[in-house]
This record gives sequence, C-alpha cells and structure tokens, in this order.
Amino acid sequence: MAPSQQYDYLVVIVDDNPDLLMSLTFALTTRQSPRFRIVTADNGIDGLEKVYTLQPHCVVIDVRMPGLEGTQVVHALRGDPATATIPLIILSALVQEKDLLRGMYAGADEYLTKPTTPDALICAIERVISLSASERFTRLKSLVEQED
Amino acid sequence: MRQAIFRHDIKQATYEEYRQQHLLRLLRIILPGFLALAIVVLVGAAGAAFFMAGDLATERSCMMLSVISALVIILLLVARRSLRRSRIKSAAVLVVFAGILGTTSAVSCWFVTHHLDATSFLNLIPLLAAILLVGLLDNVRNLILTTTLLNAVTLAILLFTPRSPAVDANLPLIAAGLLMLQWLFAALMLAVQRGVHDLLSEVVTAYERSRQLDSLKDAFISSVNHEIRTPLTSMVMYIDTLKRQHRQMAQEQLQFGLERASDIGQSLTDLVKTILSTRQVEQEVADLSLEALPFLRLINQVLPMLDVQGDAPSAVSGKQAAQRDLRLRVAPVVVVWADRVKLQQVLLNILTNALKYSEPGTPIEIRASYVMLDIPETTHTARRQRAPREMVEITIRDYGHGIAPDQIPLLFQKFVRLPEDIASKVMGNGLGLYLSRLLIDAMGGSIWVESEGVGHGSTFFVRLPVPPPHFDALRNATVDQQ
Repeated sequence: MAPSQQYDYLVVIVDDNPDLLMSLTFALTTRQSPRFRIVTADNGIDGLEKVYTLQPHCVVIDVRMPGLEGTQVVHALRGDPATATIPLIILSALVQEKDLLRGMYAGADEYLTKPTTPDALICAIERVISLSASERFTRLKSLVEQED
Repeated sequence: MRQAIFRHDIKQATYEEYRQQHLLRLLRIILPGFLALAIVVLVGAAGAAFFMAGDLATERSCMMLSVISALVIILLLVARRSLRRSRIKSAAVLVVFAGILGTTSAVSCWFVTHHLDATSFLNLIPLLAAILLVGLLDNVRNLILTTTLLNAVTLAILLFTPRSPAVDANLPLIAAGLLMLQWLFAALMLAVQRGVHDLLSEVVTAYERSRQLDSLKDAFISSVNHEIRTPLTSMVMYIDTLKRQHRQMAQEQLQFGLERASDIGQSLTDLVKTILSTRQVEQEVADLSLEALPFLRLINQVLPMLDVQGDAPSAVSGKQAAQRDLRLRVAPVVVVWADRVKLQQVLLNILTNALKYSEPGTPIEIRASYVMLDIPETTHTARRQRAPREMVEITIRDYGHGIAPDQIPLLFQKFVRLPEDIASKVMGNGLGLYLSRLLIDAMGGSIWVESEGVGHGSTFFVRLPVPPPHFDALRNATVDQQ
C-alpha cells in the first residue's frame, strides 16, 4: 500500500504543551474517517521546518509559545510561496476578539478557541482544506479591507 | 519610574475628581442661601434709601449697599450658570469673590453712618463669613490672603471711623482681639480644609487600591484562563474520543486514554485547589507557631520533598530534581525563629521555582548565615532608635531565566504572572510568591529577589529573626550536635 493511501490528511500540529499534542494526536488518529496522520512540533521553528518539509494538508498552530509565536509562524508560512496556500488553523486559549482578529489578519483560515472538541477540530480541518486558493485570497483581502 | 509617575498622575486625577464633587455639593447648599440673602439685603437697602430720603449720608450708604448687593446677585447668578455648565472651580471662585465683596461692602457701608461704640464693633463679625466661604471653597493660600485683606479692612474701619471715648481708650485691645478672632477663624477653617483633604486622600487611596486589585484580578483571570483552557482541551479530547470510539479501540489505547484524562483531571483539580486555598492561607497567617529551628535540619527535610510528585501542581518531578546540582552552604550554627510548616512551604515554593525556571544541569545554591542589620527599633520611651539586630539571611541562587528589572516589583503581588511566564512552558498560578511574602512578613522577616536581568539567573533572599535570647542555649546545643 502506498503511504499516501494510509491516511486522508496529513496534519502538522504546533503547540508547546506536550499533553495537548498527545491528546490531539490521540483524538485525531483514532478516527476511522477521515484518517489523519499527525506530525507534532513543540515550537514555532520546528513547526516551520516540518511544514516546509512535509507540505501537509493542514497546520494547527497555538498562539502563545516560547520563541516564535503562533501568529509569527502563520505570517512566515503565508509569506512564502511554497507554503502560502496551506490551510492554517489557530487553536488558542486567547479568547478575546482582538486575539481572533490578530490571528485572522496574520493569515489563518480559522481561529478555534480552547477548549474545543475533536468534532469541532475535524470540521474546521475539513472546512479549511476545502477552501480553494482563490477563496482564501478573497477572505484575506476582505479582512484587510475591513481593517482599513 | 515612569509607571510610578503615571500611577501618581492617576491618583492626582482621582483626587481632583473627588474634590470637585465635594465642591459641587457645597456650592449647591451655599449658592441658593447666599443668593436669597443678597436679594433680601438689596430689597432692604433699597427700601431704606427710599424711606430715609432726608438723611443724605444714610441714603447714600443705602444706595451704595443696593448697588453692591445687585453686583453680588449678578456674580452669584453667573456662578449658578457656571455650576450648571459643570464649571465648578469658576463657580467657586465667583461665590468666594461675591462673598468677600458683599461682606466687606456691607460692613463698610454700616460704619459710614455709624460711630464706633462699645457694641457697634461687633458689626465687624460678618467679615468672618468671608473667611468661612474661602475656607470651604478655596485653597490655603487664598484663605491666608483673604484673612490678611479682612485684617486691613478691619483696621481701616477702626482707624477712620469716629470712635466713642471708651472705644478710643481700648482701641489697641479691640483691634488685637478682632484680628485674633479672624485668624482664629481662619485657623479653624484651615483645620476643616485639612480634615477634608485627609479624608479625600484616604478615600482616593482606598479607591486606587481597589482599582489595582481589580486590575490584578483581571491579569490573574487572563493567566488562569490560559492555564485552565489548555489542559481542559486535552481532557475533552481524551474523553470525547473515548466516549465515541471506545468500541473500535484496542485495550491499550483505551487504558492510555483513560489514564491521561485522569492525570490531566488531577492536575486541573490541583490548580483549582491552589487558587481556592489562597484565601484560607491569608486567614491562617495570623495563626503561626513560632519556634527555634536549626536551618540545616529544616532544609534537609525540605529537599526530599522536591522529589515528591503530584501532590502540588507546582511539584517538580523526581527526575528533574535529581538532575540538579543542589549546593548547600549552611553553617550548622544557624537557627531561625519561624513556623516550621510555613517556612518549609516558602522554601519549597522558592526551590520549585528555581528548578522550574532554570535549565537542567545548572546548579542551585542554598546559603544561610547570620547578618547584623541596622534596624530601627521602638524603645519603651517610644523614641525610635537605630540598633544593630541579628537576623538569619537565607539565599537561594539559580542560574536560570532570570527576571527583567522592571518586573521584579510585580513578582510578590497577588495573581501576578510575568508575561514571559505566560508565554513559556512553565505552569503557575501567580500565587506562590505572594503567599511566601505573606508568610515571611507574618514571621517578622522579609523576602525579596535580585536578578541582573533575563538570562542571568535570580537570587531569592529571605531574612528571618533569630530566636529570642533565652533560646541561645539551643543554638549552642545545635553547634555541639552538628
């Protein structure tokens, strides 16, 4: 069996909390449909490296991390043509509207607040993966226009 | 420094706000009464001028009084308009000016047509009303200026008004008495002003304190929000997955998920317990059981506790503590006067922090020695004297993350977690050092931290009293034993 057939989606999760990484991996990999392959990174730099190398279907990123912050990771990924169209979800404990806007302006496709359920996360992953590059561009453009 | 100036400005602005409200309340009482009085005087003076048309001097005096009363009424109406437009200070100035003008003019008009005799100088008493107004509505400087002006008016009246022989004989005495009365009244108003100022300052300080507490609570909620939401997400992930997928799971997977969910639940319970127990600890500080404690023995009891995992949310794993080079530099002779359990709690908290905020492999140094301090002491004669006092100084030095100098003052406050803590992997609730300070203060000691900045590690200092003199025997016994 070819490796690409063992899972439907490859997801990179970037979070500094090892318990959370373990629990998200547990929740997503036990699903039969869709099937996920999860790769984890416990800091922004490692996350960037893994995204560039693996070109995943989706990236789930925390905001508050030591070193490179989640929004900086999103900026870096959106700024590079090689990763600009990869679907990005922010999963953060910061729940204020300003935090959400900051994440969305950075270029994230979805902003989920902790705590969330496996179903909500999977729905969000499927939703952002189904976005086309032009839809993503339009959303980002409308956000920037709103900000102006 | 900038933060302190900013805080001072806020306090000053709050004080001014309260002062304005106080003035507003006073003006709302004074203005209508004063206005009514001025109208009565105007009507009375105008009526007197009309009915006493034969007496030229009286007629002129009454006309003069009418004109001045009309002017005072106009000033008071303008003041009322200013008050309605919330120009409280302008209204106060106008009322004060109207008061001085009204009283001095009324008194002067009276003495134009009357001689000074044994009783008529009592008509100078209304001048005190001007002092009363300035005292209530204006500042100290203007109170002194007004009193001086009224002194001059009083002296002028006394000197230039025709006097009866009895008054003439006692003029210096009467003048001195009247001036003293005016200054006495001014002093009384000064005391009232001072009382109001002190009261307002206390109210403002209490308000500021409660505002700061609110802001600290907000910071704490934000910090706890982060600390709780992340493990809660993990727990939801495990439990929801177990609930939905348990039929398809292998036994090991099931076991793993249950154990992880249970562990996270326990951590969350501990976190909530610590937060809720803060109030209890605040109440317990009054209930200390002080005793002479050989420090070396005490610290040797504390160090193994660092290997205990799980009881406290801040506990450090045995592996983490075992990897560390704990350097103990404590003279056996050192004996402190403290509560055993509470001091253990403080030391455990500082050491746990030292382990959490420094990298594995870096050493942690613990020292304790006697120091002589030049501490002010209150003697039985209630005079404060500076006398050298022996204390025990405990230092715990780590070579870890360190603390930015501007954040050091925040460290021992309730609910405070520094921004880099929140962004770091280190769990915490912002209460440990606050509770430590509370306990050390209650034991008669002090606690503080020094750090050369981020990346240069930190040194925590704890100073505690030595046992009272009759416990010196224990100190000697400890030396022998060690």
